[in-house]
Order: sequence, then C-alpha cells, then structure tokens
Amino acid sequence: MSELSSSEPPSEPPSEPPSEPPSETPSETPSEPPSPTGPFVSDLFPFPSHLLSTQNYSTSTSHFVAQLNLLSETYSSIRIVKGDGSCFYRSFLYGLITILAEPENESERLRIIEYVQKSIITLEEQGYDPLIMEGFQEELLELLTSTIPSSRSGSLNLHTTLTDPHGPSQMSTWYCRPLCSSYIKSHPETFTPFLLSYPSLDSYCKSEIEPSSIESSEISIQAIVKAFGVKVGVEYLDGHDEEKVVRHVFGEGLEINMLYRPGHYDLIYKK
Amino acid sequence: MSHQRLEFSESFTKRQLKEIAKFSVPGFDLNQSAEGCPPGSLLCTFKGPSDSLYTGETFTLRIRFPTTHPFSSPEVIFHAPSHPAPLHPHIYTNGHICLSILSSEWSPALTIQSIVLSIASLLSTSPSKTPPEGDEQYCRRVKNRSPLLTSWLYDDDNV
Repeated sequence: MSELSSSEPPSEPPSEPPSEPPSETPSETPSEPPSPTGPFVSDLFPFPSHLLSTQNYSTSTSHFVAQLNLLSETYSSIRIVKGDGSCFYRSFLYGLITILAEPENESERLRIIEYVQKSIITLEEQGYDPLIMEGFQEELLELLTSTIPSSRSGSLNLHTTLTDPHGPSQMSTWYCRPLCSSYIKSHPETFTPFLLSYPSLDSYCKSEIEPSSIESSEISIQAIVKAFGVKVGVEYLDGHDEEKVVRHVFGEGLEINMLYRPGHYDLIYKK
Repeated sequence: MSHQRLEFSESFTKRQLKEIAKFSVPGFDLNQSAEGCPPGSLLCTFKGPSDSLYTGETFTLRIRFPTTHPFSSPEVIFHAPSHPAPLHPHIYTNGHICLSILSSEWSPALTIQSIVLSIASLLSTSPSKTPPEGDEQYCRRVKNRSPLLTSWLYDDDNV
C-alpha cells in the first residue's frame, strides 16, 4: 500500500524541531524566498525597486536585473508572499479575492460563490469527507461573501482579513488544494497522461497536492485555473536570458499575475 | 512544538466534535478524556485485526493535537500505560509509529478515523512481530520526546 509507506529507522534526531521541509526548490539564484515567518502577503511595494533593494543581485547575476528591468515596462508593484510551501495557492487566493472585490467583477464573484457552494458535492463524489471539507469551504465562502464590492478605499480592510493568521485565509488557502485535486480526478483524460509515474491520480493528489507543505506544480496550476475559471499569468524570472522573460499563461478569465523566482511565487501588478 | 493547546479555536472544536460524532469503526473505542493529557486529547482502544499476527491483543493509541492542527499532524503513539505497543517492523517499542501520513504526507483532509484505520492496516499487513531495526538506540535517544520531532525516512513500501 503506497499510502501507508513506512520506513526504516528514523534518521539522526534533528537538534531543532523539524520545520516544514524546505518548500522551495534550492537554486543557484541569489533570490532568497521570503521568510516562512513573514506575513502571508505583504503590503504593496514598488516593482522592481523593492526586489533590487532586498535581493543581493551581483554583477554575476546581472541577467536577473536585466529581466527585472524588462518586466518594469509592464509591472509597477509587487506583494511578497510567505514562502512556506503554499505561496502559489496563497498568491492565487489573495489575487482572486481582491479582484472579485472590484465592483465590475460582481458577476464573476457570484459565479465563483456558486462554484464553491457546489464544490462539496464534487468533493464527496471524489471521496472526501464532506463534514471535514465543510469547515474549509465555510471559511472560503465567508471570504467570498464578505467581499462586498468596494472601491479601493475598502481594500485595506480586505488586506487585513486576508493576512490575519487567525482569520479565514489559512483554511481557505488550503481548500484550494482539494478543489484542485477534485478537478484533476474528475478529468482523468486530461491529467493521466502526465502522471503515468504515479499509481493513480488519487495517490498523486494525496502526496503531491494535499499536504500543505507541498509546492504547486504546473499540473496543479493548470487544474486550479480551470476549476475556478480564471487566468494566471506567470513571469519567469529565471536569469537565463537578459533579453527576454518567459511568460506562461494558464486558463482564461479574470487575470492574476505572478512573478516566479525559482521555487517561489509572488503577486505582481500591471501599471 | 508545543502540544499544549492553550486555547481552542472555534474551528478546531467544531471539527473535533464532528469527527468524534461521526467516528464509527467496529471494534474501535474512542474516548475523549485522556488522563494527564491536554484537553482535546483522545485515547482509542482497539483489538488486533482478525487474521493478523495481532489477533487477540488489545492496543491503545493516544492522539494529541498541536496548536497548528489541522495544518500539521496530530501526535499519535501507542499508549504504553494502557497496553504495550505491538511488535511490528515500523512501530518502536516506545510506541512511536513510522507512518508517512503522520509526518510528511499529512494532509488536513485526514481524520482521526482515517488515521486509526491506516494504523490498523499497518498491523494487518505486518510480515513479522519484530521491532524496527535500531529500536533500542532510537528509544534511548528520543526518551519521552514527541514523535513529531523525529525526521522519518520512508523507503519501504512493502508493509
């Protein structure tokens, strides 16, 4: 039973309690993922000057600086997202909720509320315990329904709610994972070809999507944008080419933009 | 990591009440008051699965919840004061259990019921009543420390 994989004797005792496994892939880049103890999502900072002043980009990594300068033609601000393994999901949820709070997106907000309300049925069909899932769903619904369409003056309040460690955002962020899993499991024809190395879609979702310390993957991003019916644009700050930045677009609909530094996602905003 | 839940969050209490109310596994007895444990701790007593090496034996699991639950796993050990831990290649004689869902593969979707069923299944599929390799050293080293503080390696898919 793979789910019950068990072990050899434990390794040497760590001197510290085990923190979550490093959620971000180590890389050779100078970009340090934000501290896992920082706020869920930071205030808005000017882009790219905030990164240039906080990251130690040296001349040997000038491609990063060149790429940031290219991106500065399109983007003017950034929110740094906590680097705890959930940065993609957290960026996604924060981006989504704040966009839905804009008055012109009211019909999308109502559509997504309906999707989340019905999600328990789909989750139950996919084998999740509805009684347990309800607890998470309620918090996401609370975020979506308390998001009364507001002008920018109301956004401060929303930011406080979304970054409150005791507020609904933690449960809501995790709920994106089973929503993602259930989309994958209900579309086997789309996802099975990419996941042949796993015993089943179910086991993939259990080990690669649902644990809260596991980073997103291209598979989970594809699934979540389809599940919610929105668009995520990712700018890859990889330092490979000083003359261009690769942009990947997932899904269609209201647009959330993210900056990907190897192993980490932050939210970026167009001018 | 503290196991002392100083304050129950509303969602923790709500979820635990639901889980306890819904808990229904024939032969498994779940009790809310675990003596000497922080509030919210549970004891689960069950009989060794039939057709397994443990038929006829009785075991007790102690389940304690860290403040970070459900985002981190509860601490689950075999509770020696009630019954000795089963002799099993992945269960240390101090009651610590080496099971991926209790550490790296923990997910907030897992419930008390799914945990105890996984542990019962460990017993059902046990190939032999032998303690894990290095059991003595491990138990000496960790003393009464929580298993949540151990980094486990999972490299045996046979049991």
